[in-house]
Amino acid sequence: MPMVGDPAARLGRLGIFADLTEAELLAIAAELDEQTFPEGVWVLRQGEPGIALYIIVDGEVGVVIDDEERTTLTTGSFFGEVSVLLDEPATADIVVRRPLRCLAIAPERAEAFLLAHPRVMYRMFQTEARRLRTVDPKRD
Amino acid sequence: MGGRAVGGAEADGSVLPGYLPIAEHGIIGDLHTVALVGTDGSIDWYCCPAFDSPSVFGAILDRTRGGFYQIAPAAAPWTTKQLYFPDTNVLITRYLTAGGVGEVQDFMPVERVRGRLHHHRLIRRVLGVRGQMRLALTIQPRFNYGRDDHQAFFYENGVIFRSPGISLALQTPLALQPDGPGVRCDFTLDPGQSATFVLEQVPETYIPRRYSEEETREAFENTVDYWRGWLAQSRYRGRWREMVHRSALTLKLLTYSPTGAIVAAPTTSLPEAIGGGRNWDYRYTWIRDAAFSVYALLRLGFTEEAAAFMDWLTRRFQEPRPGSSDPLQVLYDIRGGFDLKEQTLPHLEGYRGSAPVRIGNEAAGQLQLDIYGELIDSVYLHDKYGAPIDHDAWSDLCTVIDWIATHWDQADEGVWEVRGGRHRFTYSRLMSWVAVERAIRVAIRRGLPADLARWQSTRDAIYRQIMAKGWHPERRAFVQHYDTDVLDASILLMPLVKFVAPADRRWLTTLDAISRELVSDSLVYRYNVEASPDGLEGDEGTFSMCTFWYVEALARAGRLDEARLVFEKMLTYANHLGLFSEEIGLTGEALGNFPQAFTHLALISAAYCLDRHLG
Repeated sequence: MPMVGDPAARLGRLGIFADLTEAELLAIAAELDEQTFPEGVWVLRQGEPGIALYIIVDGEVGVVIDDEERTTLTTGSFFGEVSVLLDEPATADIVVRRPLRCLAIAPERAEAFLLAHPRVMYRMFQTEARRLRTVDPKRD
Repeated sequence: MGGRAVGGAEADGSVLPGYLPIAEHGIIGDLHTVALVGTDGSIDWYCCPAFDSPSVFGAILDRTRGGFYQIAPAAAPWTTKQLYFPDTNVLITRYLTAGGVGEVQDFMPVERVRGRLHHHRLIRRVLGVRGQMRLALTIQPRFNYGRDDHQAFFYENGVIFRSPGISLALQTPLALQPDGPGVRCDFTLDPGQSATFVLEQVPETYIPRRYSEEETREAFENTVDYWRGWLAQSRYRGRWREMVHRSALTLKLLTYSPTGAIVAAPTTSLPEAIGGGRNWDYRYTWIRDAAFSVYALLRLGFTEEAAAFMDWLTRRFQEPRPGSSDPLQVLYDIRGGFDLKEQTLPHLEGYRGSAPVRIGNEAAGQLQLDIYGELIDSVYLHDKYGAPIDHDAWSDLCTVIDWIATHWDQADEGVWEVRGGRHRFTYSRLMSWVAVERAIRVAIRRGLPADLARWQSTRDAIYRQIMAKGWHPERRAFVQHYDTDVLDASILLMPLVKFVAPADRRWLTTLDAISRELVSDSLVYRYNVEASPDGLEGDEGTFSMCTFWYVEALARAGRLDEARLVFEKMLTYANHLGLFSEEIGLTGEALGNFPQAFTHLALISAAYCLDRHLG
């Protein structure tokens, strides 16, 4: 589904796109699909193969592992990247807690997308580093 | 954009919509800057990273353009209570609704490790206490006094507000929603649940992090421990201890720890009268406050703070000021800088429409001869009760005294920084006398080299001149300046600085005259503005510090019952947390910049003096 409204403004407020120009944002909006999910539905199920990389534009999801909700992700966050990068099934269930609007990058397009937008890749690296530090604050 | 939520605070219509009374604020800080937190949970004033940095939240100066950061119940009606966690500068704002009770703990961790980056964190912990609380956070930063645009970038764990001059991260695991240029967060807490929001100055490339509950609880406990540990140094055991200690805690909050400087107040342009133009930037350090600060800090036992402030002061008279023959400037910035160029911010409407809003302070360029008395009195006090003055500082001080010996007898702008022309103010001469008299005392007591004959001659000449020209025989009172019969509250310091004996007949008739003309129901006006035009438009309230001086003058004159009643009455004008602004209006409202250091210094001094006289 194409993005409606002012896509550059809506994507530009996401942290991983913070370094992009308006033209780059418009290109991404045209390139990527936007998906919406109502509250309560499952976006992903643990063990599901061939999943996409999702970037949350608006809304909130719960990350459930082995029936335990470990954390929530909100606007500006992303999920599915581990499965896409390692070509493995989903490692968690993702359930919508607040109506979700997100960008989805199909696994076969993810590599090309990241190589085309190194600043986005860098921001994703930073977020992954932050996640590692959160899991183990002593690790630097 | 979401507006600011109001509960019961403005229900009586006593203030213009959108503005809390000045006194309806508490203050938190990290010894670099402070935030004013309203009883409605709104941070209406916050300059980051330092006191004199441009504001990020300035709703107290413009409800629509200033910016604010509020956490409050999601739906009215609600009432609030505000208190400090005992013996600390951790502020608690409590919300009471029919359905439940919740509270916000606001604090700024004090980072004590020198040489490391200060994080400038403002932490808001929200706790569910009873019932279920639905709360809303609204943050609308307006950078650079509302002059700079910003962008908000959403990340996992929070949002970064990026402006041309500074970036701030609001970090929380809760979902944040865009709200115009700001952010909103709706959340619900059951009893025992908590939510934490950490606002922090960050580099542009920063990625927000998740603060664990354990981490923020530890920050809370460390901050509580810091303030309690600091206050434990106080030696004050007299009456009104809670008020004295709140004043001490407030003074410490107004201290810029990297240099030891104390700001006169952390705000700018809170008006001396609603709708008036007497609106000034007080986020600077006045030499005038020096002696009072050093005296109050030493009296209470805070020798480290007194020494740090003395160090800041000593640097001022030891460094040359290009293009100026005067040894000192009236005020400096917190780093000791002397370029305080004043400008107005016409895009801000001012507190309840009281324009102009000013930043910078032109008074820095005035001639105010009294500052040398206050400076050298502080040197004397610190030499006597703190650490002895060193050789280099004494040599530089001798140069200052030599300058006073040839410059004291000239017209100046005076203690009240009038902008209506120079006069030969009695107070300026009084403090010039203090400067020379205290320098003589130090020289004799320490056996330091000095041109004592010249100094004593100067001291006596000033004394005789004040007695001849500052005394008005018909009024039987010392007056404001040599060409008037107007009284002035600054004269109340005559017995305090030991220029006259507290029961000197000239002094007692002066005190009677001040009681009749400048005191209104225990509160003291600086002077009669109508009788002595000061070059400024508008009225003003009574000056809180003058009232405390009045208390001290009464106590020293032996009028103890009167002094005690005035003091007790004055304490009722503090706000719910024990904080004072500079002035008090006709209906008892706080006016002027808030909270004001000088008033709290005068409170400490008056409490100490009165308690001692009461025995």
